[in-house]
Amino acid sequence: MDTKAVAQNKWGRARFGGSQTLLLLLSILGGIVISAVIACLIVQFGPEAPVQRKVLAAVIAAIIMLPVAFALCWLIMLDRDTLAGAVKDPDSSIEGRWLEKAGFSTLGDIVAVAGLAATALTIFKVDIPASNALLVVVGLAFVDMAIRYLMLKKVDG
Amino acid sequence: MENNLSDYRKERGLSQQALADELGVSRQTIISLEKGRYDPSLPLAFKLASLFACHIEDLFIPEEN
Repeated sequence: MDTKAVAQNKWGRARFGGSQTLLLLLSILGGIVISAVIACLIVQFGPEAPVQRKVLAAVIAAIIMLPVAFALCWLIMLDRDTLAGAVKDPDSSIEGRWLEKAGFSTLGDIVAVAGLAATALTIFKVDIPASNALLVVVGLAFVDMAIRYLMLKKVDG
Repeated sequence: MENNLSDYRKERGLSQQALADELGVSRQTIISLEKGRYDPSLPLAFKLASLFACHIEDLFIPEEN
């Protein structure tokens, strides 16, 4: 049985080694780069508007995107075994089972809700932008999965 | 599924956290296993049997049809 201890800390360390500080610095840097690219894309390809307004919109979007981009970079580079509280075998842990069950149920919910919504929109001839519809589907999936996971945790925990 | 995990664990003087650490799973997993609310995966069942030097069927009691 592998019982080799791995040093763990709050933010973990990168897959390629280095300290916690290095991982955080690279994640912040990556977050800034991604946010800046998004801001540039908004300025370049955003809706027609005076330059000042376009720049303002790009800056606001970049500020909002920064924590998300930071989290994304951190997640990609993180060696999960070095994160405080991470177990060695998550697949055998009950939390993994809850996640699996919640994901499976969410898939069923999304198919049902999307199907009913599509039927209703067709019957009542409601026309909504595809981007809005997709946003609702993604948001619903997140919320549904979180609720299902917490319910399983409450029942089985 | 019923099991004798709690008895085996206490016999070895292991806490739930110590057993969880040995197996590389969360303490919640051990709690749920002992309460019979979670049926372990086959690899986890083998790990438990190996740790307690017994057979899987000594630890877990299948439900009668």
